[in-house]
Amino acid sequence: MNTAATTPTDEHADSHDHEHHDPRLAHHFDSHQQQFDTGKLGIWLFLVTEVLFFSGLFGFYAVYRSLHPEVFLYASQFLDTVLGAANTIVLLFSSLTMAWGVRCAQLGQTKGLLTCLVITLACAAIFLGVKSFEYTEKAHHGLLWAGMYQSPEHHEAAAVPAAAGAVESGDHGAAHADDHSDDALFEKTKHTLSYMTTVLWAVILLSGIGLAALFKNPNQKTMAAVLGCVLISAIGLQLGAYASIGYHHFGHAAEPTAQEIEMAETVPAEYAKQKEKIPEPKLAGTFFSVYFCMTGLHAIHIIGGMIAISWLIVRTVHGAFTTYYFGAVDFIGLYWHLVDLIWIYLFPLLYLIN
Amino acid sequence: MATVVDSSDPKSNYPIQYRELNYLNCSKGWKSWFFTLDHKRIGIMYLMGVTVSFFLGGLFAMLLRTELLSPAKILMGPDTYNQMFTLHGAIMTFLVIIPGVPAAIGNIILPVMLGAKDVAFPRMNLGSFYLWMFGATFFLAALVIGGLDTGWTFYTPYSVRENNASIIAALLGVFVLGFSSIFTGLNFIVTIHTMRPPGMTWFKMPLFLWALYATALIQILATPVLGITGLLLIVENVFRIGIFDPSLGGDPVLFQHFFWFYSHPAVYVMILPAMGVISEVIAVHSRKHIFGYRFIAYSSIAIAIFGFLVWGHHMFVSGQSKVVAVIFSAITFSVSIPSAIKVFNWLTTMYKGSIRFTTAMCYGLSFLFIFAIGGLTGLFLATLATDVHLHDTYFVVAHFHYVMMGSSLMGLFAAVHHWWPKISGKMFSEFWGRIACLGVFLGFNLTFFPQFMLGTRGMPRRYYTYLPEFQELHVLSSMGAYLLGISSALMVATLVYSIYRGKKAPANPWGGASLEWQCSSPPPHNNFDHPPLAGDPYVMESVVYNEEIGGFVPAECQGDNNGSGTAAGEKEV
Amino acid sequence: MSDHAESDSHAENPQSCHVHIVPVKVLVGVFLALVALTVLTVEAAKFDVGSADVIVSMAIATVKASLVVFIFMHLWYDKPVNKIAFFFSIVFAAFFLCMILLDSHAYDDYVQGYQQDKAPAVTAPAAPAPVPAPTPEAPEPAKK
Ligand code: HEM
Ligand SMILES: [Cu+2]
Repeated sequence: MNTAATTPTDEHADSHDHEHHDPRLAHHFDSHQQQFDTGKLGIWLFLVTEVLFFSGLFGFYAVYRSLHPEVFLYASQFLDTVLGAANTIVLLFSSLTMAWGVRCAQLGQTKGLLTCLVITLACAAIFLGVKSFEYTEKAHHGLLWAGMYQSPEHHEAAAVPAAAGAVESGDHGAAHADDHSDDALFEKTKHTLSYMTTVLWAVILLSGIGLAALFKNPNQKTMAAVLGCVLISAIGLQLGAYASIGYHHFGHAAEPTAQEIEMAETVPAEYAKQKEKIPEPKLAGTFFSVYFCMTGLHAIHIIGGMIAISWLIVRTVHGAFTTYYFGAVDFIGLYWHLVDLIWIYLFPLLYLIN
Repeated sequence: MATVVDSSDPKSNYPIQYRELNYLNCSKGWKSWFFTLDHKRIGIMYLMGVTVSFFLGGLFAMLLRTELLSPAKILMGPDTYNQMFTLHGAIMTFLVIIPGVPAAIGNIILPVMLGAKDVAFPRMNLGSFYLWMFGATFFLAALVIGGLDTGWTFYTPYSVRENNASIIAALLGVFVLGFSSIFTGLNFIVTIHTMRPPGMTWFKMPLFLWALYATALIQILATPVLGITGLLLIVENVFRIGIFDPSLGGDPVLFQHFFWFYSHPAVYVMILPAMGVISEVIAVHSRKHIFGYRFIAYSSIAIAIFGFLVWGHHMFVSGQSKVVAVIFSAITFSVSIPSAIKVFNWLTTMYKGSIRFTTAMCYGLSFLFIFAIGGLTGLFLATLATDVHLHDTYFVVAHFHYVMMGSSLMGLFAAVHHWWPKISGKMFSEFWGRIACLGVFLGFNLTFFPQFMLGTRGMPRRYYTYLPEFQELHVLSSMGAYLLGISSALMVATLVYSIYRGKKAPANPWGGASLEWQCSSPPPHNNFDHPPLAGDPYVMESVVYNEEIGGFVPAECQGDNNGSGTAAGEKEV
Repeated sequence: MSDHAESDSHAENPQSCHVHIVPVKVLVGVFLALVALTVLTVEAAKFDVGSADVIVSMAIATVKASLVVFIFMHLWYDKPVNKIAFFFSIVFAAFFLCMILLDSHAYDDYVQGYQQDKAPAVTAPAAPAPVPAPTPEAPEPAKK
């Protein structure tokens, strides 16, 4: 965005734009109001492009769901609504703190702004942590996009030969079957997690270095802020992932019975059975293609947002924002809300299909 | 003549014509170019990039046309031929025409026309230039890897297959270039909204700005869909997600929908800025107020919006449903109305004007002629039954070359010649410029008119061989292509020569009344010392020719020099 | 527009920026409403209401989205240009979705037909061999 810093060194730069020696006002603007309005229109237009960017994916979803509703009905039962809902709330909360942060920035409350940004960053990381668990779980059960999809029926009955119509390359030994235990899943999650954390550290460190290079002299404050961001993100990730592991653990101990009881009480037996066993449709993998594309692109946006928020944190630490110069906070806030907005739609579309 | 007034000449009562220190030489060294935030320098870098790409794409075209001199194999086999036309198409569309007028010329001219110091987001502007470079690198990678033979449209299932490194590279290129284009568009919209000078209301804006605004709307609303389409196709290639690939249950026609949702609007990204250029060129070189200002302005916006509603006309025979086809056909007809409005307005502008056949005007007139043919043949293609016969024949090839090469590129040429004195501060040789223009015009028509005939007779597009009875027309076409190639080289040579040997240009060589002609040629780093006051950009009487300077000066300056002080007032400079 | 209540006390100062500032109460209220709606949508999904399901959950999502857009993103208090811009993005996205939905239903049986024809050989050739001169046309089923 239009960060301050006038274009350096043009000997002949004419005198009249030196009336104000304000480093926060770019040289080609007349007033802070103009600079702010410009940035605001810019970010809104950017959000417009984001909406249309995602509209392609929503188109993908809409076409396949309307053509093959049975696929979506069947496959969405493999998504965990509780995790999805929890993630929704985490993200909503981060939106709240972001909006609050903007308010603080507008009022010039630097401390409050910093707190809000840190919480937002942490929430984003938690979201990703939960997501990483969910992804690992899907991969663990072979519930991947169409090209890699393995029918769950297939491993449920490893002894029974694959159904005649099944599309997969069916050379899975029976030895594979016991890999599907929960312990193995947790192990895998931890692997993913450490892998993701490393990647995240690398990403954030690199971008931190890049951003630090933008400052005239990367001083200790900057480095400390960058490190702080990395730490928060890492902790958030772990928190998210371990929380979902824990949930999964308990879920498996308690849920089947509870559900069974409920089922037995409320629904006629045959109906419950029938509902449990929706036959696997032919294109089941397509659902997971949609799932991974949509949530994956969304996750990429989350990561982008985390980098942007870290940058804001660094600048806040330096006291860059004041009551008349807080555009960057506002704009990144808008972006963050849009990411939230997309999730608000993704959650019911993917998790809540009945 | 040509005593160009220098800034160091205090007694002159003319506006400053030329400054020792301008944007071209105010700072030196490669860094001052590569890290510049000055919109004019960024525009020049775009212009150079576009020129290089144009010659690369042109080279492919020459090779293709050489192969088509005879039905037998001359230079290459079918596979190479397929790769060649794919690269030709992709380079010309994504690297030449789409960035040509908006990113290169628009960048240089738009802020000056607005009397602004720069675009709204100079950093982002530089960023989109680097995105463009980056995207171009991917294209080069695709070229080096080889094997990209899907056509520039990347239709599935051709574009989903095993050996696909070059397809992925090209798609990444398209993705990145898309974002470059989005950011340019975003920048322009915001600039036009927030940085207009005092006195310039929306309807006092030069029409070029209206055109750029309409273009930017399309860039913002359509290009993201191209981005996601490219991304999904990459993902389809790498992970096989089964969205477009029929062997996994995907839907190849869906890809066409996705692709054309962007790419039809994209053809207006190509033509609209050229139309804006023509509005300027015709008015200035006819020395007459543009006719029907509001109609031209509104029709730009109408084209931008209608342009979104017609993409299905590329899919009439792709298995698209009948209902949808009829809807799209009908809307396609209506989209040609605003285009026609523009053409009539330009013609009327010239009526009783004092037309000067400068090089820019010659390109402008060529545009009118060629665009009329290109647009009308589009209507043939929009007719459902006719299109079944003409689809995927040379008729389509000729149609889109008439509008893309003949119109968009002519618009670019006109723009370059019109604003060359402003950009470079030098006058080019009108003689050679006109010769080149004549060559381009004749060469172009010789190349593509025969293709209309070939198409109606059933010659399918994208074949490296053909039936013997088509040979004459193919040979004609190839001859035209060579002429076209030579002439465009001549054009570039003329311009480049002028940089070294040309006369110094006055501030206003053609007599334009819009703001860019009020600052010296070439403009200083910050364009204007004081924010200029904008009047009606088409009151040509507000400037009069001055022998001494060799260019036009505001009428009120001329008043005290015995000149033809017909100062039709209104101009407050 | 933006010259709304709480903005700071500055009128002619060039170092000023008029914006709308949302009170904390409103922010927290919106958040609570969003959480409530999330719970509601999860609960609503448990009832089997047939095809109205999508409509219900999308309606709730839209209410949530509007809350975010208008309050958190300040769009309610924002300039008309920004409102129009965002509105148009939705309109264009919706138009795009409608058209491809309308059409993909109409030709779906062609695509199905292709799959049936290809069914036996489905694992082996990922894509049809490159034809010497590809003419881009949708693969058509042999029958029909
Ligand atoms: C004036 C109104 C226009 C109409 C009614 C029109 C109509 C059409 C139609 C119906 C087709 C599809 C032909 C087919 O594939 O069977 C087509 C193709 C095409 N048109 Fe136009 N067109 C117009 C203007 C333009 C302009 C201004 C441009 C670009 C600057 C353009 C570029 C193209 C291109 C690139 C293709 C072929 C794409 C491909 O298949 O590779 N058209 N046009
Ligand atoms: Cu079209």
